[in-house]
Amino acid sequence: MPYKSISYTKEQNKAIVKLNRPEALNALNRETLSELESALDEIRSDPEVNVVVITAEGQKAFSAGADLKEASGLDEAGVRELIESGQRVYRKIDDLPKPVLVAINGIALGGGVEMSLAGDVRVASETAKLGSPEVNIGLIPGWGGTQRLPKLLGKGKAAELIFTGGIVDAKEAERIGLIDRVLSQDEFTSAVHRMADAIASKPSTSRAELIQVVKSA
Amino acid sequence: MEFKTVSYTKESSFLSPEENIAVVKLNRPEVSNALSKDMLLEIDSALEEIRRDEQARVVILSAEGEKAFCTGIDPEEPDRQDAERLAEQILKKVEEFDKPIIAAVAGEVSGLGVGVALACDMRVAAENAKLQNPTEVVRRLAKIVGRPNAAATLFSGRPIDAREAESVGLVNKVVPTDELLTTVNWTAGKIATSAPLAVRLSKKCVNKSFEVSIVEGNELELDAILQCAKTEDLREGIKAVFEKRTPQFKGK
Repeated sequence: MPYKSISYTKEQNKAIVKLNRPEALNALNRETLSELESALDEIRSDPEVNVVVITAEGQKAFSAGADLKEASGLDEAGVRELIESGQRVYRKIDDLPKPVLVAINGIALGGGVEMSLAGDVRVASETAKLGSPEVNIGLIPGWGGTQRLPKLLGKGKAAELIFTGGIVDAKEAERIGLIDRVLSQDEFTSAVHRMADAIASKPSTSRAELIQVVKSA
Repeated sequence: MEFKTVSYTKESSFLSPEENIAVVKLNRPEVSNALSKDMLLEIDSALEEIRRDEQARVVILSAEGEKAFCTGIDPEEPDRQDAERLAEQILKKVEEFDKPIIAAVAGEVSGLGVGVALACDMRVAAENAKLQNPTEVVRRLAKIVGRPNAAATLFSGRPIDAREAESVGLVNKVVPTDELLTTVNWTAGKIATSAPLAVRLSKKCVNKSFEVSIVEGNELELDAILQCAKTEDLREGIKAVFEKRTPQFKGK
């Protein structure tokens, strides 16, 4: 299936999904979400795939979050539909019976961070910045952020990030457990492939095992 | 209202000249800020006053003196059980309070004092802080810490110093003792200048996250977003993004 706002490729047993609107900092609009959903459905039923990498085109941003230009023009029914669609797509990431490595290649804000939370293991380039700035525009993290962040970071850290709308750099993100490993910019792509291969070659079940694999790859 | 066993003031931050931060301090340093019934009732009254005060967007819960944040129920309290019951009610109120509460802890934190700190949404600790009540810590652990591997460290039963508390996620941050209040003021200031309804609703969703499934949690989020979508603050927030300026939220 041809995609526009994302790209989907397979390399041996790796499925690589990339957000592909770098000119819009990979902001998540309705088309991107619906294409992601199709790709996830495809991946789910593809027996050849045993590891999934979610990342993005461009060096600047993984994703700046929901596409505010599009979202601000929606009526109530449209907002409902947008929120439900993002929630459903992220639950599909969560529910994939294959390990999902999220490779954060730059800024990840709001819905971008929430997408990463639905994956199993997160790595980020050293230039990445992550945050949930929703309260600074009058919103809450509505694509699962208020639910998944506390479970990952603990309530205190999650509360701080969400209530202050704060943004942290890759190092701090690693310190608080928001990501599992920081990668240097030069080696980013090769390291991500190496990790995905390591995950694929060593069938693991628990998140703890996955983190080990990613840290030593 | 005049308080005797606590102090209640309001402060601004460098982010806004408005006094939008409520500061409640336990104020019996001569008895290591032990909780008497009077003190518990005054904490309750202060919270009620803050609830009604639209200007107050966030609360700092702290204590006078650097030696002790709170050492639990006052041993001099004649009816201990009664005081414990009251304390439990107040802890629940702190946890569910509709404005975020940040604990700023220094020195000894023991007995139910640990419960007070852990009932708050987040904690900033001075370097000299020491948490001494593993039972209370363990009881509230799952929610606070998130990472299961931390449990092993804490089950050992000994007091936990500030750095260790930070490394296992029990406190958000450790700072030099004389920087405690400025650090907390900065965090509080950030919250106080965010959109108030959004902060309130996100606290509700975060609090529920350990009790509900992801599907139910997503429904809570959707409901919150639809409420936010009706506010002037959201329009202002989005406009400010496009105009590359700081938004001015009115709580409407």
